[in-house]
Order: sequence, then structure tokens, then C-alpha cells
Amino acid sequence: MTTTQSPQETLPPELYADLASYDPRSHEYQEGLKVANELARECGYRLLTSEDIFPPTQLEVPSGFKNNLLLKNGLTIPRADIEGKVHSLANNQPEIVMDVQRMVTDRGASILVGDLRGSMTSQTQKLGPENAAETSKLDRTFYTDVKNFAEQNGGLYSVRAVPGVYYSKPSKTMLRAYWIDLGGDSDGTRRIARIADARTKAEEESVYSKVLKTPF
Amino acid sequence: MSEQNPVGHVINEVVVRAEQHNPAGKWVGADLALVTYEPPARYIVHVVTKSHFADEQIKSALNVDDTISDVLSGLSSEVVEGEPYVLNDEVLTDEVITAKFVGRTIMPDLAACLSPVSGPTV
Repeated sequence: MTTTQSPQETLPPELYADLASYDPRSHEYQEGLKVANELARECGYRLLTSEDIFPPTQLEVPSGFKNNLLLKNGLTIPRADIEGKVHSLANNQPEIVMDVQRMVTDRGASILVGDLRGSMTSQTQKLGPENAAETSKLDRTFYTDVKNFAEQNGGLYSVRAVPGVYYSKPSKTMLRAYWIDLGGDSDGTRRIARIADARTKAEEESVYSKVLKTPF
Repeated sequence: MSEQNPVGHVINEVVVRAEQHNPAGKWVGADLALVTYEPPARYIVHVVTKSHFADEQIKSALNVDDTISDVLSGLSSEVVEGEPYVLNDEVLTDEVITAKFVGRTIMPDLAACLSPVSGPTV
């Protein structure tokens, strides 16, 4: 068959727009993607990626970064990858799919930042900042640490009893954002996920005992 | 002496809960859990080396990220952490922490940095 399309072009978006309404793990999505890519191959278009189906959204770019894209369903991790680190997951599926921020630092280091807080038990979800100012302060410190982690620049708080668990702490506050290292993806890009927040010593104790299962 | 005033009590156990290393890889900060047997009590304390404390103070003084509105709106409800307990050592090690705390009596300067922890956590 003669192809006339550039391999950089995709199928017209209206032909695969419906796929975005399905869970990417579902049979319907997989079958729909297969059909769309068979058509693409036949007609000389390039194959679809998840970013074609779930177009990324540009988010506010924190200080120290030059890019911050939100990828819908951008990270799928086997549950086994986080077992041993996190113990209060409400999600009991063998794979956990989450939205992820793909961020690039000013120095060009890439990192994928997921958010598992919504996948925790409701008791743990309630912990953390109580107002916009606290949220803003904690997020700023978190993203500073994300930048340092992506650039392997050190200076992070690590939880001794659970390798690969870190927390971010604005100075002179008891606010904390706990996050885990998920290792690199197939391209070597570092991946992390925020797991829980705390704003008091009592909440911090809850995170240690309920989320991290570490004894006092 | 009450649990709220630990001055004079002897520290029997120390558990390192978290540690902070500076970009050069030196261990410069830690969250410790201190346990006293008599009376039975547990406390959390954040310890830092003197040089790290100085760095943090400078960074805090130069922090331009906090807008005035952030500061004003956060002041009313934000839980503010006490000062960390500053150690004179250049770098932390397990041996340094053990020597500084285990078997030592809690003095007022350390007591001022302790946060009591109530009840079992598991």
C-alpha cells in the first residue's frame, strides 16, 4: 500500500477521541487502541501514544522548573513496587494508575511526580495542611526537594526505617509532605509519588504508624 | 516530675527516625525519638549540627518565597515547630547521637526542644 502521510502525523483526533473516556486498563480501551493503530499503520500515520489520547495540561510552573505538564493516567505502577513502603493504600488493584506531573528543572533534569494521597485510606487523606497558605508553603518546599532529587543534589530528609521514603519540611513549621522513590522508568527518568501530609506531631505519628508502619 | 516537664529524667533509648544529609553527603540533621523508662515517656526532637543550623537560619532570613499574605494568613493557625536542638559536632553519626543522649539526664535546654508523644503508635 502506498503511504502518503508523514510518520509524524497522527490519525485525525476525532477518530480516537472516544478512547479518552475509557480506563486505559480496560478491555474496551485496549481493543479501541488496537483498532486505531491498525488503521494508523494501514494509512501511514504514526502509532498513537497515551499523550495523544490524554493530552497533557500545562500547570503552573514552580520555581526552579521550566516545565510542568499534567499527564492524565500518566503513571501505572505495580502494587508490588510500593509494598513494603506504604501500608494504608485503599486501592487494592494489582496496578495503580495515577495522574502524574512530568516536570523539567531549569538544569534540564526530568522527573515524574505522582500523587498517591487520594489512594490512601480516608483517615490518612484527612491529614495535612488546613488552609491555602499552609498548602502553598508545603507545596513550595516539596517542589524544591523534587528539584533537588531530580538533579541529585542531596539535602533531603529520609526516613531511616523505610529506604526510599523521604519528607519535605518547610522551615519553622511542623508541616510535612511524605513521598516515595519509585525508581527510574524505562528511559531512566526518576519517578516519585507523594503519599501523605502531616501538620502536627500527632499527625506525623499517624503517618509513621499507619502509612509507613514503623514503630516509634 | 510530670511527663510535661521532663527535666531531670534519664534518657534510656534513642531511635533515629529520619536523617538529613547535605548536598556534600554529610549527615547534618535528624529526627530522634527519645525514651525514658522512669517515668515511662517518649519524645520527639529534631537535632541539627551547628553549621547546618546556621545555614538554615540564613536561608530562612533570605526566603523570598513567602508572600506577605501567605505569612499573615498562615500565622493564625499554622502549627509552628520549636527550635531544633543544636549539636556542636561537625557531622552526625550513630555514635555521636548515642554518646550525646543515651544515659544522659534531660537538661532544660533539651527539654525546651522536646515534643511529647502520647500513647502507642502502632
